[in-house]
Amino acid sequence: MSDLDQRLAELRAATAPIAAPPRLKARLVEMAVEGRVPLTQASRRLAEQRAAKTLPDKARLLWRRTPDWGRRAGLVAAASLAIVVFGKTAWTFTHPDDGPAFLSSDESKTVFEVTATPSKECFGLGPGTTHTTADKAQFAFNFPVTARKAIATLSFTAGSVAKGEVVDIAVGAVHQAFVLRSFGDDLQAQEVRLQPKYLKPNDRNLVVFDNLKNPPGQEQWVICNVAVKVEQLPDGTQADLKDQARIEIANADRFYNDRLIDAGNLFASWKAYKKAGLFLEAMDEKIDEYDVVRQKVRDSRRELDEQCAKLMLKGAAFEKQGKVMDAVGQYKYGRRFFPEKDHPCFGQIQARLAELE
Amino acid sequence: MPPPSLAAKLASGRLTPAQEAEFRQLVDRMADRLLRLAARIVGSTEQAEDVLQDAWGRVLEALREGRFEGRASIDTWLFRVVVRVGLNARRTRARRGRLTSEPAPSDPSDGTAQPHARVALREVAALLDALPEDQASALVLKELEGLTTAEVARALDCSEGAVEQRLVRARATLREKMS
Repeated sequence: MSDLDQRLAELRAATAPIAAPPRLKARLVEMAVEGRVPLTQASRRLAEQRAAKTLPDKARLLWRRTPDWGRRAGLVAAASLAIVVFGKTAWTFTHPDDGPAFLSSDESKTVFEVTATPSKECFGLGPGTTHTTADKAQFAFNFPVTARKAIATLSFTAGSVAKGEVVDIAVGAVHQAFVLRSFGDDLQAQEVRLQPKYLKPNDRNLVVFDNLKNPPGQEQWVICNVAVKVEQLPDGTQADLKDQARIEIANADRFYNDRLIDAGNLFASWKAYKKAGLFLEAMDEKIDEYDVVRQKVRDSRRELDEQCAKLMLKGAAFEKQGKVMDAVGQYKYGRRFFPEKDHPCFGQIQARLAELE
Repeated sequence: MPPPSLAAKLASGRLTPAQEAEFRQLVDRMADRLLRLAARIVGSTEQAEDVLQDAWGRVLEALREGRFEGRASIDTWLFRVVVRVGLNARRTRARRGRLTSEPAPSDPSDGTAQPHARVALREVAALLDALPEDQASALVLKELEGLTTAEVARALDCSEGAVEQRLVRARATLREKMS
């Protein structure tokens, strides 16, 4: 067998696993029987949503879609709310200077628990928030240190933050960073490395998002998907740590250079750079690569964020056009870029798929 | 040979569940092979999906209009249409100057194409770039799809001798390129 024959045989074998995905086969069959394909459940729901233009129509649609137990729960909640509102009004009249704290809707003084899993709640003031915290949103987290050193990384998405230095992030009352400005309702992902020297090891710590303009202002701001990830830094000699870091950097560089070849490579490079960063962080004396890797983590993260924004925008466009199958396909395609929950896009994609499928 | 009945059904505009099942069987039987063929021609599974959908649309249109005469088997005919649409796609891409200056798209949106398959597809695309279209299509059908010379001839609507000649020339060009 000649070299050419051998190479062709190898190429034939390497490309043999390519197969049509089920959605493509379904599409081909659908094309053949076009015109009498029954609407999918998701398409029907979308069509109903579109048809309900006025508020009463929307309310009727919501009521029709709510199961019996949900309707009963809704009635009970409405009745409870009426009682609370009545009670608050009565209290305000009888105690004009001292409103009861438990009736206040603002939860700026409440401390919420936060873990490594991004919270599904949104905090702040304005549309999109599930907890109104006009002044500040406070989160407590554990900072276990089982190795020689550990680091904590705060991640969140922010929206409606009109200016850069309005929402302050502090740990133990020490400023760490500001929430970056965001545009309109678009949520912008951000990560902040909390400085270990201000964290209490093996204890609960408090991270506070403080909107410096509220009060007396009524500035809108939204913080979602809050999470604090604690990572134990690896132990080892300086030489071992440096070697390990360089291995990870080489891996990360390779993935980054091949990021156009495979959808998951950019994500893999970001993770490898972060892992390299842990080894470098664990070293007592910082070497040249330390700053380079931190920059590469930021760069690859920014590219991932941009990729996420593009994917979600395209998916949203399909949804808007009523192309539910295409939207689902787009989001499933997006999962190839964000295969794990380390990046918030993973959660956003899962949420859209859960709603559409 | 299902086409005449399928064509009649398509022309009538309505399909019964049994007829729909007939199409489903055709898709189940051929979709993988056709996608693979398209991918080998255009160099990426993402584009191959577009090619396959485009080709399938033309097939349905031809069936509706009674343009398929049934002289070849439906399989051979499908191969022929996919080859033509795939080559068109390559031509369009080459005209835009993307074939050689840009890497192949990174998304195979299916879950099946592995990285090594993608790399192999790009290599196949690079090899085919060195060949005229008639030789490239003969090479793909014969050497990568494993069709017999007679089947390739039917798919490309030429004689078996012409297929052999194209293959000899293609091999000579590629050997020269590899050396």
